[in-house]
Amino acid sequence: MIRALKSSFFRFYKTGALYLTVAGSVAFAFLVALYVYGSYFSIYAFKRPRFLDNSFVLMCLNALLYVMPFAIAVFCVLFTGTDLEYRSVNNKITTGISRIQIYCADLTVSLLASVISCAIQEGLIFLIVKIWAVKSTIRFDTYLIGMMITVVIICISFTALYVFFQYFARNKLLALVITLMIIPCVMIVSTLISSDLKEPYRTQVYVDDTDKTEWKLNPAYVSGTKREIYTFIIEASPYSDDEDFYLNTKKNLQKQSAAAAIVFVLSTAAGFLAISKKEFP
Amino acid sequence: MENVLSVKDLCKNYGKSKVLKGVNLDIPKGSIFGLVGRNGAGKTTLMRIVTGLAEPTSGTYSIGGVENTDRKILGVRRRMGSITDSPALYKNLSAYDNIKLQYINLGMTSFDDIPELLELVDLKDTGKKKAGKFSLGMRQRLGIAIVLCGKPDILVLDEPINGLDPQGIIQMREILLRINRERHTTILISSHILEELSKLATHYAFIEKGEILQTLSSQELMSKVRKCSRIKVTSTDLLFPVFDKENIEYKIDNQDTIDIYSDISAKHIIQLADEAGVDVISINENNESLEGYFMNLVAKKDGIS
Repeated sequence: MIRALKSSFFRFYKTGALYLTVAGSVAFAFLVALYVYGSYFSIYAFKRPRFLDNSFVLMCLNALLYVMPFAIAVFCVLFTGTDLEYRSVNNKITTGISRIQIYCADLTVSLLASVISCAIQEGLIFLIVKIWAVKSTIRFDTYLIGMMITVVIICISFTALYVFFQYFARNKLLALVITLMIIPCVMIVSTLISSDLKEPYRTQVYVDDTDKTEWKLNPAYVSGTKREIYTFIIEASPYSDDEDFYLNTKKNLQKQSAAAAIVFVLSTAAGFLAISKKEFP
Repeated sequence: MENVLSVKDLCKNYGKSKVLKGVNLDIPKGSIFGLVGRNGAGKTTLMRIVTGLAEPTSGTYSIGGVENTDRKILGVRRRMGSITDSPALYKNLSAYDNIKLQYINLGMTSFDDIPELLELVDLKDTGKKKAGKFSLGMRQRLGIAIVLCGKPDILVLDEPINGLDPQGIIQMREILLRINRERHTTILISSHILEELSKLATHYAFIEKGEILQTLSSQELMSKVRKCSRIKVTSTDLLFPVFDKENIEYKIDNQDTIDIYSDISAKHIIQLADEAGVDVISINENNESLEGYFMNLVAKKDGIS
């Protein structure tokens, strides 16, 4: 395992992947802060410019959840996907490093890159607030800390998922397309489920050919077990509409972290299976 | 003689397609073992299996006496270097860093031998130039340097001279002969350029449609190959009808050279050439080429089946 790790870290350092991670993280942090700053004052119109509080940081962290997976996808394709594309992974297999060790080493480096990236971006957002704000009232309450930890956990689970796709997909391009499509797909599914859940229990309908209306049960209302499953998905998914974001609670953060942990375990197990069965060209 | 690599009843299927059908092979220590076969015969698949890149459907193989089912095989693989298809390089790293990475893969901590390796493959002046910018010949040589890391006991080389220019081929041959002679490294090598292979190999295995047709040493091959008269003429086209009419067994080597396997005198050949209106430039006694021997073997197999 030591050999596999040393080999992956050497590549991480030598191929410039480390510098790319750091530079990309810094750029993303500024872009996110700039983007959120615009939205922040359109929502909180009553606030004076550059008066920043926890809601600004929370919006930045939420925006990171959308941006980070794309950055991680690109990193995984460049780091693991290139190793497979160049067939340089063959050099490890033929020197007796086991396939599981190769997978674990690549996963470890990708996770490290992901954590470094999260740490830089979260840290920079606080730094930006500190430097930029005329007045900041940031309080490190449990919800803010919980959100920061959840962002890291979700990024870790995406990393595991993306590393799996590198070994699962036939080539680098396909792996990139799959990984980049995951977030939009999750967002679409979450939004659809969220809108289904918001269907009212009763709706007003016109009585046959008259102007009169009456209240009837809404056939689109989701009830029973289906509602429970939908509710769980929405609470466990960080990707739904803005309204859900503002209703996000500490309990939801725990559910989101738990769901991310499940994704991590399942995708790593699937990755072990994929690399064990893979025929290397 | 001790075998460093043994393959027993090895089968490999891809879906319904049977790529290897019960291959048995013993590769003696210190030999240069040439694997000869047409495209799709199963050479690369066999090499990929013994290097651990693919798993056999059934059958076993052993490296240095350790079976592939034994966990110790991972340790034994450190004593093996391989190139399958084309060298696996990090195109965004220099030659030095590519070799250093292989040292790390092998668990070696001293990198003092890297300049020596670069010199052996004539890449010592490449500096920080990325492997992606190397010519094909340079990449092949870097591939050889990578497989030589850690001074392996056995090399598995699939088409290592593919795409090389004549000078590159000679360089590669010299490197392989040198490491075989100086380090007693066993080499399992496949190549489409059979003439080149015949200049290297001490042993041969002929493979066709996933089956080993024959294995033999170069001495045995020499005793088995047929003698022929190699004639060089002004035009070969006019000679074929005459040879066919006389039931003479022949093989065209190139545009102006024909190998005649039938036992006929030089005088008779000149007579037939005269009849056909062709001038004979030279007649030499020659051995059947490796290519000729292989084609003959395949033809015999096809005839039987």
